[in-house]
Amino acid sequence: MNIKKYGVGVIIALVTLFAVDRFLNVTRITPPILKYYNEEYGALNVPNIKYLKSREGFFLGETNYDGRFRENYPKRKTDSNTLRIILVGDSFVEGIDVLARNHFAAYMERLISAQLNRKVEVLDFGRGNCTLQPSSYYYLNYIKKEYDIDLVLFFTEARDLQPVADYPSTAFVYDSTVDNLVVSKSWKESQEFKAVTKMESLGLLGVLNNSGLFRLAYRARSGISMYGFLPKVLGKFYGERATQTYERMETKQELSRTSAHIFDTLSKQTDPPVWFVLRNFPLESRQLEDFMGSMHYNFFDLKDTLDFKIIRNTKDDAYYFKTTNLYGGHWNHLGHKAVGYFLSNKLVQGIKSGNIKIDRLHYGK
Amino acid sequence: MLFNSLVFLTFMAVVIPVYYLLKDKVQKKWWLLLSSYVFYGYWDWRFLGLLAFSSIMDFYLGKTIFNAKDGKAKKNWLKFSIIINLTILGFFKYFNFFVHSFQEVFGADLDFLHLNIILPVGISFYTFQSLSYTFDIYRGKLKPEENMLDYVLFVAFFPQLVAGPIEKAIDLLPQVKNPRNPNRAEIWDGILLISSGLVKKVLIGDTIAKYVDHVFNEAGYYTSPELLAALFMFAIQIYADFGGYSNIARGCGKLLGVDLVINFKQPYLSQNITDFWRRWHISLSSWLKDYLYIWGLGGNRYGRIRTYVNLLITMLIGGFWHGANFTYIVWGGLHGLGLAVHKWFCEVTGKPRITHGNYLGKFAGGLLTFLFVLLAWLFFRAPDFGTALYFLKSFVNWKGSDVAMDLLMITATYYAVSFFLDFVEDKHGELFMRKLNVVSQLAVLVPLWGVICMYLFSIGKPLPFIYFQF
Repeated sequence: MNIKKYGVGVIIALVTLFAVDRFLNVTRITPPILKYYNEEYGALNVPNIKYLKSREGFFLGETNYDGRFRENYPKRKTDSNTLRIILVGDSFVEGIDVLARNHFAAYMERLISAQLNRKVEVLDFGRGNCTLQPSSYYYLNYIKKEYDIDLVLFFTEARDLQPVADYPSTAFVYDSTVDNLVVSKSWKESQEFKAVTKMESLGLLGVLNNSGLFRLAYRARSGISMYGFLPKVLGKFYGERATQTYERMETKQELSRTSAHIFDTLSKQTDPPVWFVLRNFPLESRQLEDFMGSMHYNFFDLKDTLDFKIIRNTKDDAYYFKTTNLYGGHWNHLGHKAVGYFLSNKLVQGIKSGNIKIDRLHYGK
Repeated sequence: MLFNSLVFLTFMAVVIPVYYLLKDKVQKKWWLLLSSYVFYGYWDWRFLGLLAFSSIMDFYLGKTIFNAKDGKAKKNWLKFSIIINLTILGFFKYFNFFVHSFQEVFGADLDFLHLNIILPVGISFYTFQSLSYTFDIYRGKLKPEENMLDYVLFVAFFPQLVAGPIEKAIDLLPQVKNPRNPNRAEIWDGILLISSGLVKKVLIGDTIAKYVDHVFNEAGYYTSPELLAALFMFAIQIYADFGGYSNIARGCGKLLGVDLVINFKQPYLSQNITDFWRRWHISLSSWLKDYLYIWGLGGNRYGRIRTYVNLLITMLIGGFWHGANFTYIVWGGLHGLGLAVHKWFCEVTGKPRITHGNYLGKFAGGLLTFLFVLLAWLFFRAPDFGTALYFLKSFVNWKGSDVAMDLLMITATYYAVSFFLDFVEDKHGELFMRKLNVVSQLAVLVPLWGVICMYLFSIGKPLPFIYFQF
């Protein structure tokens, strides 16, 4: 009798867990782990994965065949008259705080197309935390080789003056012995990669990404390591947590040899040409702008369009998120719109005046 | 302190055992009062004084009304009680609203009058609860409480302090006067209610808010299917949020040997709008009905037209009680209009106010009622009229969305789970789970508690209950 009772209990528990797991999955309460590891490039976004992000802003959609959060454009252009622009950068370019149609790439497609009277494709290769070093490697060794490109917009900011190698991906580093950039795959030594490899060998990686419950457990573990167990359980009785506020930062750093070489390499690209887009936070020092100017690199400075939209307390701020009531680290709808309009106008002016030289429109190889 | 936080679970883990261990009734009451004030002070200790002042004032006013020499004196003291209570509520909740409205209407520059006021959590709830006490004494339905500790505990009893149910003194006071340890069945019921409440609040209400809040806050960037999905989701969010809160409150009450009133009874299965208000926020609707509609306005005693007007006024005030915004007044007005029209319809056709027709009739009535409630929710949730009108316009000038299918899937899942939970909780607010044996109950509860705790550990801050702002 007891065995039957406990047997039924076990079945009920399993059914409950299964039902909750499906509920978490379908409603996307616990988003999947975005990264997987590629032998050549390190961490990349998992392709064709449904994703919902709701923190600062809101995003609902999925990655395409190449792990990007945008449309499924073919690698080769299908129309010779199409102008294809590639965006490379970090989470600002990835822009999953707004729906795909509200991303600045979508504005650019619409606006440039209308003004130049031709089809325009803007392919967004942004990836969160993927800074100058890994981005430049990925661009030169993958994107440039695989895709038809007419123009590249490479987004950068003051923190790129010093290499930040916290994204587990293949990157350039400067080697003084050869006085040049060399390829580093130090991500293979990272704890995260080792943990992922171990999970993969146990066949758990697929389970983790397909199970809402496993993902929730993974995030709970991250939550405990981020906030601490006792502060979560005891709250104010443990001690008041400092309120997280977003402050405009002011970086003053030396330009590293690695960054200098990467900027130099990218600036010399002509087929297709690379234009830098400086997306510094407001009040940031003008080190990067001064450097780019002194080197006569091609660049656009978003300060020109975003700074007038940072009037605090009026909510008319490109970095203000109404739902969290915080001045977050990324652009909101207004910010994306402003950037979309700004870059479109600059590009149209540049192309029409011949300042931005697009020697040929790629059509196949 | 939020019910849906790990801190609250820790708080309960301390409060309950100590309460059970205390043998003396007075000690139990002091412990409950201390716990309730810690619970309330966790938000902002500065408002403890206001809570204490409000409670002590009504304690003495109750006695004064009761001991007044004649009807006129009683009435004057009652008026005084109403004025004091509503002045406090009005100052904290409506002062800026009135200044702003005056500015809008007369174009006067009154910016200097705007005050940076923080709304004390739950002030609307405990003010109404206190008022019910003096009202009932005035009406001769209740004798004033002699023991101040009992009265102060009645107002501050933490399970229902900040978002109801709005308890009448006649129901709750006798229970807090005689605190007792619950029996085993009550403890189990309490755990079941808290569990079902947490599932509703944490896994449905809080998670669905991720979508709803973003869309309502920046409606202009979303298209018709996205706005429609947000509206449908809000209907589930507010039900899961408030229904979940009420279950947790009742569950905590049970663990302390106190029965709180049932606040929800499958409201979205209502067959008409009158039926809806017998199932939604029952403690508020019965407060409004008893003290405002019947006692204050005369109910249906002054003819048909006056009855309809009374219904409208009652619901307009009910809407305004929710918040200092014209959108809440419109929400209340729509419901008042709905109730009046339904009453008229029943009188003209001679049909009973709660239908007992065939399944098709019930289904049609239920669908119509739900759609009406949904329309009213639009005004309730929209931050301003412009947003509400934008929603309506976008439904007329329909424009598609590339994520429409995703949204349909997500919305349908939330509805399926919510209606499933509604069926699990029957029309009397009782849980189906009680019919299972203990092993089977644990087989459901243990995994669910595991999931809830994991979710609470995975997020930064738990979301407050929607009704806390009221």
